[in-house]
Parts: sequence; C-alpha cells; structure tokens
Amino acid sequence: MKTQETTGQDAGPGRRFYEPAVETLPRADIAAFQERHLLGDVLPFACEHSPLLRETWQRAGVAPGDIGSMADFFAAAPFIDKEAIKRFRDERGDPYGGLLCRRPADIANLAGIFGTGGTTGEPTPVTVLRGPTVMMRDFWESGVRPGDHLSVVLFTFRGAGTNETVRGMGAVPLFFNHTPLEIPALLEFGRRFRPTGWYLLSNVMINGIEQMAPQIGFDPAELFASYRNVIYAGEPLGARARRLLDAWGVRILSHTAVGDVSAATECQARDGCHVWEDTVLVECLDPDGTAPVPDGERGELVVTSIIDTVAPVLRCRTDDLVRLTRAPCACGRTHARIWPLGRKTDEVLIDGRSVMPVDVWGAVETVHETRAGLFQVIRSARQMDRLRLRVGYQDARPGVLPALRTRLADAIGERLGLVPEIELVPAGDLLRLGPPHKIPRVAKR
Amino acid sequence: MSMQALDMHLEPPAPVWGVGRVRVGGQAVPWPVSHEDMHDETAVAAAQLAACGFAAGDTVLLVSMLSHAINVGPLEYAAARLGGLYSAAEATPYDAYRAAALCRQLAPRVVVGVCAETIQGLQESGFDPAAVFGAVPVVATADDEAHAALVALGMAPRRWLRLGPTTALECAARRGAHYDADRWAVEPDGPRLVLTNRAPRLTPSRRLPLDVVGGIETAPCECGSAQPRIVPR
Repeated sequence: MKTQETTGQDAGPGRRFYEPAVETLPRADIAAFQERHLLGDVLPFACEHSPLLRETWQRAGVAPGDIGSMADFFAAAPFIDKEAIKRFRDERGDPYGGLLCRRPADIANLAGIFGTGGTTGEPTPVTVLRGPTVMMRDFWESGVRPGDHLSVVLFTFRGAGTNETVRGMGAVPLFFNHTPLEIPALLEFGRRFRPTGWYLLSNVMINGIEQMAPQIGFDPAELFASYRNVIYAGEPLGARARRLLDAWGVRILSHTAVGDVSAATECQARDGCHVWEDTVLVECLDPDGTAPVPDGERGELVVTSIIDTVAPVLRCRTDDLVRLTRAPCACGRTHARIWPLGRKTDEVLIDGRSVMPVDVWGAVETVHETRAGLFQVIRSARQMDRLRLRVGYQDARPGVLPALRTRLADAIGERLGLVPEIELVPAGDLLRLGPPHKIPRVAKR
Repeated sequence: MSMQALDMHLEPPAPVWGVGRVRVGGQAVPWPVSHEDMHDETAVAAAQLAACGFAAGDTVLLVSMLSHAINVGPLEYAAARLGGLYSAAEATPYDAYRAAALCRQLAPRVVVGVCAETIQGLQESGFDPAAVFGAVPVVATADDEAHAALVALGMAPRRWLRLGPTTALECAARRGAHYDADRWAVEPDGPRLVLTNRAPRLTPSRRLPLDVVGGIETAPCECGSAQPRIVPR
C-alpha cells in the first residue's frame, strides 16, 4: 500500500499523520484491500501451509475454494482460539503452534519466537519478524518526530520490535525496564535527552510513581514534563489513576493488543483505539455465538491476518471483550476503533448478573488502603452465588484489617448492589503474580 | 503473526541506535551507541555464539532486562548473522517460568544471562533449575550467585560478563571470560578492572571502572583463542 509520503507529498515532519494516505483511506478502499489480500493471498496460502489452519478447515469441511467473497468468509470460515494454538504446540511439539507457513530457514527476516504476557497462564507463542511495525503511525500520533527520543519502558519478552519501530521513524529509543525502580533513571535521562514519547505506562508504574515521589523527593510533573503524550496499556485506566495523571499534566493515549496480530492506539481525539485494518481484519461477535453484534455494542474481538504469509491466523477468537465501531473518527482517520472492556473469561455471573473486574475497580480504589486498585475476582465458576474478591492493601497494620474489610465491602456494595466476600492480602503479594505491567484479574481460587 | 504492513514508510535513521546505560560507581550513566557501534559489537557477539557451537538453525534464549539493550542487542543481531533465531525472557523471578517454558519448547542451543532472579523464580515456582537447563548445551550466567547455584546443582555454566558497553564470555575451558582485545583494552586498577575502547565508539570509554573484580590472563587458552580472559576473583 503506497503512501503519499513516498511520492514526496506531505512528506515533512509537519504532516498530520505518519502515513496520511493509508490512515485516511476511504472505507470502501479498506474493504477492497482486505478482500483482495485475504481471499487472493493469505487464505489459500494459510490453508495449504499452516498445519493448524489446514486441519481446522478440513475438520470443518470447508475449503478455500468455497470462499468466493467476504460474505462467504464470514458465513463459513471456522474459528480457532489461543487454546487451539497452545494445544497444537504441546501435543505436536511445534513451538509455533501450527501457525508457521514456511520453514524458518526460508524466512529471511524471522527474528524468532516469543510469548504473550502470560497473565492467564503459559504464554501463547508469537512469531516475530525483524524490522519496524505499523506502530510508527501511533508513535507519530503521540507527537514523536524524527530525531526525537522515545522512552521505551518495557519488557524484553516480546522481542526488539518496538525498538526497531522507534528507529524506523527516525527517532532514538531510550531503554528502561518496566518497574518503578527505574524512576531515578527516567528522571535523569529525561532531563538530559528531553524525550517526547513514552511507551508504555501502566497502572503498576502510576502507583509506583505516586508512592515513590515523596520517598525520593521528585515532582511527577517534572518526570513527565518533556513528553507530548504517553501511551498507556495493560489494563483499563481507573478513575483515580486518571485524576493522578491529570494532576501531573500527563496526556494519555490508551493502547491495546489486537489479538496477537496487531495493536491499536488512541488518536488525539481519545475516542477509541485505532486498529490498522491494512494489517488485520477485525470482527466483533456475540461472545457466546458467531453472530456479529451491532456497531458499538459489546462483543468478542475476532482477528484475521490479511497480509501475513509467515504465521497468519484466520478467525482467531481472542477472548477479549471490546466495543468496536467503524464510524468516522473526529481525527480524520478511517480505520476501525475499539474500546477494550476485559476478557470474556473474566466475567462472573452473580445471581445471573454480569460482573467484570472493571465494574469492581472503581469501588476498590475509593478506599485509601486499596487505592492502587490491586484485586482479583475469585472465579471458581462462571456462575456463582457470591462475589469473592482478593484485594491488595498498603499502608495498613494487621490490627485494622477487619475494619478495612468492612469499609471496602460497603464501598463495593454501594457501587454494585452486591455483598462481596473479601480476602485482604499485602499489595506486594498480588504484584508478584503478574508480568511487569499488570496482574491477573481473575483467579480460580 | 506480524504487525508489519505492506510498503511501510520509513524515515532516515537517526545516527544513534539507542541510549542504554553503563553502571559507573554504582550509578546508571546514559550510554548512547551508534549503528556502527552495534554492527561492530555484533561481530564480537557472533564470535561468542560461534564459540558456543551456535550455527544456522539454532536458537539462543536471551535472559535480560531492557536496560541491558546495548549488551544484548549484538547477540540478537549475531543470532541472525549466523542463520539462527533468538527468543527472550525477562531477568526477573516472575518471568523465570517463561525461561523454563522456552527451554522446553524451543530446545535452545545457548541460554545467555541466567541470573540470581531467574534461579530464585524457578525455585519459587517449583522448578528444578538443573532440569530446566539440563538439556541446554551452553548455559551462560550473568552473575556470581546464579553461577554458584548452577555449579552446586552439578552443572557447568559459563560466565557472561557485561563490561560496560561490551561483553565477555567464557569458552568451553571455563578458565575466564574472553573479551575482544582488538576493540577493547581491559586493565587492572587496584582490585577492579577498567575498560578503554580501542575501536571507535560514539561514546568513548577511557579507563571506565567496571563492576567486575578479577584479573587478566593473557596466556593462550586451551580453546585456541588468542583473546585474553577476565578471571573473576
């Protein structure tokens, strides 16, 4: 997909979008691009060369030749999910989960195989290619320009793609570990290099900054002073965290994964995360069925690669609940937008009523000792008689815990109309359970 | 799975590859490195991996933190230069389970950077480090604690040392970690060592104090390498 910049038009650092022609492509052209590449290239190639997809389609009794249109695809293409990928990996001893379509030696830019965060169990394998990604568009939107510095506050387990993306747009990565222990380095390097972009901030980092500011004596506003925008991800941003960021003068752009195929980030309009539909086809389906939900309604995100011929996925159910719209955005981009709501498997039904972690969050953070919003829903089954929570506390002596439990139960009861059963644990016990940027929000026991 | 689009627009690269850090006197000092620096250090890393028997089709598992990027980046590039792949796990107790899973799934030829946090995380999660790494032909540790722990378990790890902006790695003889003396000079300065760059670098090292306590051994190594070794004390 050629862009105007490559022809010299709108090529300067003052241009509004990184790839204007692509980012504002008319919807009909996006649909035509997807149909041409998916039906013409990826679908027949994947069904022939991907062991998992070949078996899935054979088992469903569907052949690529049966799919003559996108309508056919939506009506007949079978689904896969992360469990199918992991099962194939474990049962067949294939580290690529049956998705790799070519021999590794035949893929010139294959970096290696990495894993997802692993919040909900053993990581799902993710094949990574060397080189920059479409996130150059998101970094540009966050205000980063060639020659700028961008603070990459991240982990290593997803490979070096983010660093290569920063370099791809002519910027320079500053490397930080994703832990509050890095705050002194963020302060010092920030003063010296005046970075304009930050990827990524998380609830864990926000809590760490709030706690450490008085301890080591710095002003969070100074920490963030040089950044035009900060990209936030990991979990939904709670109201309390948003108030803290507002007080520190931080302008946030939310960011989320799109399955493990792509990523989506808010624009300056801050009205949903833009999915790059020239890389991925997204559907929003009934979480308990296969029918699409209306535009803007809650559903499960289902992703299909439309240009990847290395390790594509076809109709992968992500388990992520989102709202999705293809309505025009105020920023002028035309690609779909999503709002992440949580995982399908995070939902519990208490007396038939749906409760998601995000519903509990606001109440937990209103209580001073649990303001960090560290909690887990104990989900022994999808349907339960009572809401059970494990909540992390700080700044509280053991003697005050019974009273704290009562105050917390009252706050949650007032917000949800449910009387919860609460186990209190030190906040550090929960932080140890997760990857650096989040904790598992649901536990079986 | 790829987040790459067709015909993505690329800007001309900045002259700086990235800004890492080097610890000097207990402080993290920002350390900009150039693309040329990384290209040159990749040659060093490729020699290190080749000395581990790493060849086309092999995988190296890199256990590190992002703050180690200027030390680990050359190994990532070197894996590709030798026709292999790399994978990664964080050098934290939480992510030790990932190192264990990747060793089982990918059967890496080399694991570099096993540290005290990795050992702690494995043990806390009920893994036996000897079982996790037992089938890996070459395991290189990043600190004394991890090295001692694996030796106590009957393993024979090699030492991987971060020497400011470069690295050193033990060969199969395990008589000290070879560094590239064509590019770097390492000298004793009291009980510690200092580093000076011989090859051009964006950020020069002039008698840069290292966190490594040890001596320099210049006698020929039984592995056949003429490169001197750092023998930790």
